Amino acid sequence: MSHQGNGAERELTHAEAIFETLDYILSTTPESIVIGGAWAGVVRDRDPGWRRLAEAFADRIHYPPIAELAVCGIGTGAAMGGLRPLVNLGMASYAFQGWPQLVNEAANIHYMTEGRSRAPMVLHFFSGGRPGSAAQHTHHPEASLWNVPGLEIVLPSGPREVAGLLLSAAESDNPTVFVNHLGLLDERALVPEHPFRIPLGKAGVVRAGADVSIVAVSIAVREAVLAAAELVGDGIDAEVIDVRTLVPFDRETICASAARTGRVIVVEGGQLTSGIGAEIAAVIGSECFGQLLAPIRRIAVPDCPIPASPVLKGQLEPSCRDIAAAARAVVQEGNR
Amino acid sequence: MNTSLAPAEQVEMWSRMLLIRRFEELLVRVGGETDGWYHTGIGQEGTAAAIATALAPTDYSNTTHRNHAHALARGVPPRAALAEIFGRATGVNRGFGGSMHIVSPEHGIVANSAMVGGSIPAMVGTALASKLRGSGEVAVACFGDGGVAEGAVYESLCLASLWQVPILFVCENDRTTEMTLERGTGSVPTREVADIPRAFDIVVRAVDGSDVLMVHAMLAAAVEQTRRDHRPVFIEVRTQPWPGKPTDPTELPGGATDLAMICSASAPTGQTSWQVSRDPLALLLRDLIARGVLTVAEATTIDDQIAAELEDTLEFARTSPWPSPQDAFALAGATTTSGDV
Repeated sequence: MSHQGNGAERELTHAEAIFETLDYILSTTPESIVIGGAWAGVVRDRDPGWRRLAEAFADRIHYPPIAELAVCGIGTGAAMGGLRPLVNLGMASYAFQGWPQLVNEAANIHYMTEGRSRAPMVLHFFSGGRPGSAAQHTHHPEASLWNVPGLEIVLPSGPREVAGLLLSAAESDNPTVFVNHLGLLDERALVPEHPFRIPLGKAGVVRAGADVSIVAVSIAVREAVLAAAELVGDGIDAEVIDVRTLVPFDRETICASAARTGRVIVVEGGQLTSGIGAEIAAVIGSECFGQLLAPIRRIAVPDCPIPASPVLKGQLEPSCRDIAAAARAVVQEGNR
Repeated sequence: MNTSLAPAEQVEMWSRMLLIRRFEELLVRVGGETDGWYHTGIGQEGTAAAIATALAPTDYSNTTHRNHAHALARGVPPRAALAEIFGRATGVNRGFGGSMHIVSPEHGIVANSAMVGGSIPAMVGTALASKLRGSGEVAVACFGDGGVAEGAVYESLCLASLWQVPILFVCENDRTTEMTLERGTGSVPTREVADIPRAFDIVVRAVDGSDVLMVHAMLAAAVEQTRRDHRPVFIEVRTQPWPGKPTDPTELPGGATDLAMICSASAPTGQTSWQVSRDPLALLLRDLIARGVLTVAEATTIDDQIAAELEDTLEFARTSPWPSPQDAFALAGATTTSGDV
């Protein structure tokens, strides 16, 4: 089974790709267990894909009460005890309920024991709330988690990526935080028929371009691709990089792109300050300073919680229009 | 009937329940306009109305993600509540909070969390503040049976008892927990929910949620007791799950509440067994009529007045302006004005 699969592909939704990959992991790894349902959101628990899975692996899928703190710790401990737990918390915000078990227990055990005790757990949750979810259900903990040594952090951007990254995450020997996005669930894309792995630490060049590098994570990759298409009309050839994993971080691919185009825009769905974009901009700034033609731009949610009102949510979250506007600006600055 | 409430107060409490019921039924009807993300409190109006009736206006209470009943019961105007759910600038929280964050300090609702069990520690904190300031308020922490698996609830029970603060923990237990519907079991393995606070030496009461006057009598007594002696009280309100609760988007199994059918002697048709024999609102209405506290005609008049108010409420929510993006930044924190340097 190669990283690329055997070539045959078919179209799947993001949700179907999650179910198929879980099916493969549970079928081939006897140590794997699932803690928590709603792997494609509560509503899709009625989907045939999940129902089949829930029935086929009924004895290995465990439904906890609402107790995220214990769930994060129990997933960690089950991993220490020889299982390979795939834990779904539901919404990203619930990670805060389980925070100490994740950042202070799971993340540290390998370091504190020189790897003699390990927590090979996948902790999955969804960022991006349904409309009206408001401040408490629209969090992006991935930037805060990036500040915690010991965790791997994965952000799929579509059906193909969710399939390839979930399998790699399940096979990792580290606690791996899998930050999925609710807004992707109905996306359709070609996914290899045979299970395949996208290696952790390998960014994807979604679209090659010469004028500006748009470095994006998760659902922002979709917006970046739309922006790149729009920019063709302006004569701007944008490169779109899908970061895919924050830890491990693919400096090589991202810095090579930045050095080649000389102009960088970083896009994320979380808040601006100390966000993902801040760290990526710092890395590029240190490593490619001499090649940059314009200041690095960050596109993120301004430093306020996401309000319920749909008009505000729409205006605060990064869109392809914001990205395209930023790209035009950096290309102009870079030509001075 | 063992109630301290005067007949007019009983009718007032039932009217609040009916307002909440009609508000939620309206929301189910027009909910698509809000992008469909809300949790109704149908079947839980009685607990909300009983709490609001038992509390003084200055007492503290919280709201959860399923909060419309508790907000309306404590006096949040339907216009401000529906506009909030619609995300409009005229909402009680200017459209920033939406359905899950209806919170109104002006009505005693000082804390809200859409995280299950999330505002329980804060309610212990308000009770502590009341005790330390000697200001006399009682705090009520409301949550569902889904909340009792959350660690924060245990720590809150522990500290409330250790520090002896004037708080009522009110657990509405319908044995259906958000996101755990697969299991079909409760959240905790104790024989009953009340076994948990008992372990912390907290006074425990259990009451049948379908008997709203009894719920009120128990709450009113507990409010006065904890106001006096600062001992926390845990009240489990045992309710029957409304059959529409797990649907998404929410539906109204058996249709909207039909007062004529509730009041008629003939066998109901097309209604769920919950509507026929479990609905606290129907049970209280029949009781009020049987005891001559309320007539069918008076009940119908109240219903008509509520219908008119809610028609205006809907128009208000639909036509209210959206909040502006500039406002989104303005409220991220309180303005700090201090410092000598």
